[in-house]
Amino acid sequence: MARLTNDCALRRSLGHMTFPITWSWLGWSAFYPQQIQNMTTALTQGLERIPDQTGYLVISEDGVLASAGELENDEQTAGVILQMVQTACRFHLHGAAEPPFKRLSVMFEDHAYLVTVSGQKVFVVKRQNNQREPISV
Amino acid sequence: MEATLEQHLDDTMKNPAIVGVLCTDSQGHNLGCRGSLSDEHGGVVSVLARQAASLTRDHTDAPTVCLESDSGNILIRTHGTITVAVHKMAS
Amino acid sequence: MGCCYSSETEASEQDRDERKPLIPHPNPDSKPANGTERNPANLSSARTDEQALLSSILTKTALNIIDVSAADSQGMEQHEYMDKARQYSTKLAVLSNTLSQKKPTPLPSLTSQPHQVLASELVPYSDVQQVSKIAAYAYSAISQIKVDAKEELVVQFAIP
Repeated sequence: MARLTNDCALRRSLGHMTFPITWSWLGWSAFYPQQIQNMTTALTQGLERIPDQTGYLVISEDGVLASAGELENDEQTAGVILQMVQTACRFHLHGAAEPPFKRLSVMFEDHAYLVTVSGQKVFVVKRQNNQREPISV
Repeated sequence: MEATLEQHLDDTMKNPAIVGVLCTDSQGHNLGCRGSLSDEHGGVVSVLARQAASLTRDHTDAPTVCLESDSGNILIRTHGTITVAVHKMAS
Repeated sequence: MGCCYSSETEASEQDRDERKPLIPHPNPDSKPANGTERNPANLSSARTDEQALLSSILTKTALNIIDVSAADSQGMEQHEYMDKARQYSTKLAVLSNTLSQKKPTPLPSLTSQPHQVLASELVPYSDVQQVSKIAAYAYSAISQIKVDAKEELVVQFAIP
């Protein structure tokens, strides 16, 4: 986790979006903030529309790619969740190669963190948990 | 003490939707398990529970970790010094 | 004495064979490499002192140089060279494999539609409640605390 924290310390902020400057700038020399913003918009558009969401994070193993709402610049949560994903991916049932889940949720009394991985990126959404009454079976 | 826990695990498995249950201490030592969850899962279960707890400063609000799939969920919950994982199939 | 001497000679010859350099010296006669077969001793009278000095430097330098390209590559055949190259690259590949194993394993893709997965319904509250109840009972069992069960923990289905 030390590596992530280092990356975080070196991060530049661009509006609501952050990106690590530790990335190879040689490869990114043709990229300008507008283009990065377009790329990030594509990543986060769907997250904005999730019902009851109060914040989100998009994380790569190199650092936080985007953040908003209650999770804006929340490096600590990003670090813990990345660790949780790495831990959970070691969970295998009956020797199956694939992790037996497509979403990891951490449910609290009134809110929940929902996490999934796609294309080497970890998507995290914080949502309100309004399920007060237990559903009687 | 162990007999009580074993009995509890057996009773839990009587629920037709539950296909696995595991009980571990905070260090990942397996205290008992049934069905699809076995010794090898103890470590991951206890670590996940501990990591989830560090997402909040409110220690009265205990989190439940869920590994969700279309076929069913694995739910992990800590109570005091022990952590329990339950593998429940989708109904 | 003579016997001893001859045996000594034999031993030293064997020793010399063992210590024979793998790449033989290209100029065993101490001749300069690039065809300038000028003996500095003969030159000294005809040439100026400066030229003599330069020539001696050239000679000394030539003595210290082993021309690898001119040397017979008897120690290494073409196919041997290829074998070695293959052997080294295999060893390097093994090493780089063990290096990459130290990196954290790349994250597996859990879904191709992350937004839909995150937008779908939360885990039912009843399931969360059920697992917290199971955990509480398990803790009680471990701690030998008597629990006064108020309701059935297990609900039987399909009982007439």
